[in-house]
Amino acid sequence: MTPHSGRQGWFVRRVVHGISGWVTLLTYLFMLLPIVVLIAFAFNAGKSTVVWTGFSFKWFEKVVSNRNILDALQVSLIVALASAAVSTAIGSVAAVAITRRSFPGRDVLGAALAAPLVLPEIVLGVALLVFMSFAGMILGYTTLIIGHVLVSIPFATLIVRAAASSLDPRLENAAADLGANEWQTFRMVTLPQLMPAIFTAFILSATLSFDNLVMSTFTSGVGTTTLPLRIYSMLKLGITPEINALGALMVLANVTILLLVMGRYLPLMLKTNRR
Amino acid sequence: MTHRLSLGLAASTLALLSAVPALAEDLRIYGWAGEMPDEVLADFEAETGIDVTFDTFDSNESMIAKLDAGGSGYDLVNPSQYAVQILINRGKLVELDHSKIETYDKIGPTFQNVSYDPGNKYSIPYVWGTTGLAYNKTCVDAPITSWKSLFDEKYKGRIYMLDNMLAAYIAGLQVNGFSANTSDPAEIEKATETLIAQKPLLAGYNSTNFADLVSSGEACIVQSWSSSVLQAIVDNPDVVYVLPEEGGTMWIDGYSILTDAPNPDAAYKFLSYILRPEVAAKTTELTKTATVVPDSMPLLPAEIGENPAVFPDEATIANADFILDLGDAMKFYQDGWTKVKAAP
Repeated sequence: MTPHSGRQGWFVRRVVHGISGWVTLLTYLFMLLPIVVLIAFAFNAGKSTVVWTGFSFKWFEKVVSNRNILDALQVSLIVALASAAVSTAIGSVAAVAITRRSFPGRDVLGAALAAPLVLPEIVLGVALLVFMSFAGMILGYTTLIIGHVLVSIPFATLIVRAAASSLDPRLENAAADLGANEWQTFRMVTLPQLMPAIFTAFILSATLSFDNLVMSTFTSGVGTTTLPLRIYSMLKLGITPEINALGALMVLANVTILLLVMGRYLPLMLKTNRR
Repeated sequence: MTHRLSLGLAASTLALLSAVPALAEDLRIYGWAGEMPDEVLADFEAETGIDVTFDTFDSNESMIAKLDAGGSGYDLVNPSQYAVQILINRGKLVELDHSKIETYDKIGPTFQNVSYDPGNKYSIPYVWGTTGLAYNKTCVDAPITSWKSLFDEKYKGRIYMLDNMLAAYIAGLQVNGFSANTSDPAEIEKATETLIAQKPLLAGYNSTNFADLVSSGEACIVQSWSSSVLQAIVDNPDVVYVLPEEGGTMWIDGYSILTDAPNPDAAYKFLSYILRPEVAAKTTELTKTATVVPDSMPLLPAEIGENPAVFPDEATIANADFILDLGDAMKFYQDGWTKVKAAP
């Protein structure tokens, strides 16, 4: 290596360094700028979402007094919490079984739980709708929750599986040596270690359900129009800053939840990782 | 943590229980968002004691898919004209008993015998509008009267078309002198070529905020639904809406009762209620969409009741086509539209 190529190498490193900084910055702008614009126009006094005419809170007032939106929000929250609870419960138990136990059909079960991930959601939705009407089910909360569980269960399972497979089996052996039965071991040793992953799975499942449009289109019924369905059907009449205001409130709610979760569980997760 | 999880579960179970319908009389409607004001629903509830659930859909197609599966649980559905034909063919709609609709004779004569459902056997038309074009006076030299302007090099980069297959083909077909309802593959093919050739001139396909864009002057000419652009016309005198000389099209969203409706009696009561002139006027005033009740026009403020964008005169609409169910020809449209969307 000549000194010249060394200097060149230094130069290349500098350029790469500089470029990667710019790329990062542009990526962040690309991701966040639309959200910033969305929030800014929520405060627009006019009816337009592209022309700024003045500052006003009136669209926020409109959103919080819009019965349709509040009803849809309630539906979405109920479905998100219920479906996340179900898919986290099933996903966690399945994940522990798959990583900790050996039984016939284990690999098949593992693959089957991830199958909804590779199937297009619209295919799942249509198939589920046809099946449900064949089975004589009335579309409503139950069908909506079943549909959302189907969408979120692969994610819940994968998250908990990853955590479960990195657990140290010696801890469970030690618990058994110290006289704990299987249930006690699970409840007092395995479960606490998996808690951060289970909580993450719950939050992710709830978020997926809250944002879901495709599955909801097919599985919602009388009185169960979800928030995304409502917003999508509002588009026919054109967008007003009311939708921006709603978006701004949703961003605020998400960020708040995220901060709360991070404040409470980040230290816990770091501790688990260190071990 | 487990505690919090179980709390969440308990809360959602409670909410589920409270969602079970009460014993009061119920009416379940599946309709377009924004075409039936909440005030009208609330007034109806107050007057009759019937509980109304109003769910919305985003397109005729997804509504049909839901109803097709059966057991939807709705009483009334709100299809557009071609969707009425599809639902009739699939046996989803009941033959209406007009004697149960007290205000049936309030429907204007032109709407008592529509081509897609002669004699209103299966559907009661309610709100209607047209598909034409809107432009901003400040950026054109002379009034726009024809679809041809959407294909004019002069306005390159300041034209928007509706992001909707059937709507785009209205312009593509009529500008070539064809009917907007053609099922002739050669004519559809020609329209496809026209739309592909138009693409370099477009600023984009847009069916959401085109009214905003034309009002701000960012767009010069946009293909437009009459109802969507009305607020912009009221706010900005430079915005003009016209039905093109080639005809344009007319749409009607009406109400039909489903064959498996749990409560058809409440549905008839609702139909009788919304056709009252004062209720129709309220609907028009709040949604800026014309209804089929001519007696409501004198009850409206002049800027709406006498606005040709809301209520075009008979001669203008006589020229407009209805978009009907195209049956098997739909395939040619879909293939063509895919090509249009994929073209540079």
